Amino acid sequence: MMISTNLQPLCIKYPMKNQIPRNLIGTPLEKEFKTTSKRIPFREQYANETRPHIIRHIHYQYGQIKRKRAVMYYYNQVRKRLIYANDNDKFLTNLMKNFPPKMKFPPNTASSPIARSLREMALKWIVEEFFTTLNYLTFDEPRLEQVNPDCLLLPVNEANKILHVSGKKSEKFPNQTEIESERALFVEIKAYHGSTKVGEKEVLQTFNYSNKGGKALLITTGALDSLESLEFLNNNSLSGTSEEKTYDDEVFADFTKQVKQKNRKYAKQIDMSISQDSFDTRGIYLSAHKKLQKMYRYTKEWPEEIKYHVLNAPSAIMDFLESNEKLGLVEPDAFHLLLQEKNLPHAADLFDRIRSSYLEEIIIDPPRLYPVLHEN
Amino acid sequence: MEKAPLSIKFPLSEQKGADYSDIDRIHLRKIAETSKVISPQEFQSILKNHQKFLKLDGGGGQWQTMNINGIILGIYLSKQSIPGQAILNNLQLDNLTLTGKFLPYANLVGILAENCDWNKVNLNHSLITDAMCQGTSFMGASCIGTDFSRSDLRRCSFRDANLKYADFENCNLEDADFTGARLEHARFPGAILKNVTY
Repeated sequence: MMISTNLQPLCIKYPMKNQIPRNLIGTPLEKEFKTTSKRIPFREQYANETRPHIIRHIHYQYGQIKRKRAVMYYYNQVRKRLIYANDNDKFLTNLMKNFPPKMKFPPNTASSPIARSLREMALKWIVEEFFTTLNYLTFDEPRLEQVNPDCLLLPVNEANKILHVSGKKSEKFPNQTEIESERALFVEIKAYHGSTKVGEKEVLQTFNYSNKGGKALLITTGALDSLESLEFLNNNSLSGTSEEKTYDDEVFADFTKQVKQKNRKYAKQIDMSISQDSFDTRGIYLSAHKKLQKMYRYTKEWPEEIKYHVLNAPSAIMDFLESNEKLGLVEPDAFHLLLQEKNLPHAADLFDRIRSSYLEEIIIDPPRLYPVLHEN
Repeated sequence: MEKAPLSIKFPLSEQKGADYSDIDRIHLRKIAETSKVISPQEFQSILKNHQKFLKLDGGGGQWQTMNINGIILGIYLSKQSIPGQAILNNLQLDNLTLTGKFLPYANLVGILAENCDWNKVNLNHSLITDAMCQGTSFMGASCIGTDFSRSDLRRCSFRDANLKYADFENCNLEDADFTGARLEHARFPGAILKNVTY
C-alpha cells in the first residue's frame, strides 16, 4: 500500500525531574507554610466568553515558607500541591505561551485546553515508548488526504521504503513522502478520562485511516463502548458503482439516529457536578452523530463490512500487529497490562494517571502527566 | 620521512563534533542484531535492482537523516522516484561479502557488519552513519563522499582507500589503519583517532 504524507518525528521532550517544581506536600516544609491570602477560586475565560467563569473544585492560596513566597493548591478543599512561587516549569511555560489563556493563571498551573493537550501528549509518549520496543518509528500528525491520524508508525526496517521525497535538504523534515509499506500503522489517540465512553464516532474515524492504507489502531484511555449500531450498518448492503460504494442515505440516517439516542441516554446519566470532564464528555456524546454525518459525506468508498477487532488481551494486541487485520480497537486494560509485560513501568503508571486524573487535578498539577524519566 | 601531524592528515579532527548524546546506540545494535538475515541470494537480487536504479539515473540525490526517539532514519532526497535502490539500513550484514561490489548511493544506516571483508567495495555517496563495523576491512575501497558519521570503525582498515569528501564526524577510529588512504576534503570533527596508523 502506498501512503503519501509528510514525515515529522514525534518529539516530546519532557523536563527532567530536577526541572519540575518540587511538590512540598508531605515534607517538613509543608508545616512551615503560612498563608498570606484567602483561598482563591480558579477562573478561566474561553475565547467565546465575555466574562470569566469559575472552575469548580480547585482553589489556590498564596503564602510563605521561611519568607519565601509559595502557593498552595487545593482540590475539593484538600491540599494537593505546594510549590515555591518563583519555581519555574519551563516545559509548561512554553506550552502556555503557545496557547496563551485570556486570563493569567497562578504559577505552574495549566489552562484547561493545555491540560487536555497534556493528556494527549502523554498518551502519544506512551504509544511511542511502547512501539519503540517493537522497533517502530513514530511520526506525529501525518497529513493524509482529508484525514489526519495522530501518529504514523513505521517498522524500522520498512522505513526504508520511503520512495520519494519532495523538499529541500535545508528543511528540517521532508514535507511530502511516498511510503510503500504493508506494515505501516496509523494510530488514533483518544486521551479521555477513564469514564468517558469511546464509541462509533471514534471507531469510524479510525476506520477511515485504515481505508487510506495500512492498518489502524484506536488507543484510548477512555472506556470502549459496545458497538451494536455498527452491526446495523454491516447488516445493510451497499449501493452505488463499483468504484464508489456507499450506504443509502436512509440507512446511514437510521444508524446516526441510533447513535444519537444511545448517546443522549449516556449524556443524561452524567453527574455534571463531578468535573469539567463531565461537560467535555457530554459535548463528545451530543456531537457524535453530527460528526458521523460529516464522515458519511466525505467517505466515498465503504467496504462490504466494517471489520474491527476488539483487542482485549495483550496477546491479541501483539497478534493484531502481525496479522492482516486492518482495524484494531485496544481495550485500555489490555494495553495497560501489555505495558507492564513489556517492562515499561513509567508508561504503565502514566497510562493509569491519564485514566484517573480529572481535568481539575491536571490544571493544578500538570507534572501529574509527565513521565518520570530521570531519577535524581 | 616525518609524518604529518594528525590535525593536518585528518581534516577538522581538532574540532568538536555535533552532540549525539540522544542517539540510542544500544537500541540500534539490538535492532540490527534481531533483524532478518539477508541471504546471499536475496543480496544478489538487491544488487541487481540497485544497478538498475543507477542505470535509470537514480544517483545524484542527497541524504537527509532524522533522529526519531534515538534511532536514525536516512531519507534519500531525489528529483524523481526510482525504485530499486539498495536500502539495507539497520540490518545485520556479517554473513555477506561485499568485496568489489558496486553500491554507490546505498543506505546502510545502523548496519552491523563486524570483522567483514569489504575490500575494494564502491560505496561512493552512500550513507553508512551509526554503523557498527568494528574490524571490517575497507582496503582499496572507494568511499568518495560517503557519510560514516558516528560509526564504530575501530580496528578498520582503510588502506589505500579513496576517502575524498568522506565524513567521519564523531566516528570511533581507534586502531584504524589509513595507510595510503586519500583523505582530501574528508572531515573528522569529534572523531576518536587514538592509535590510528597513517
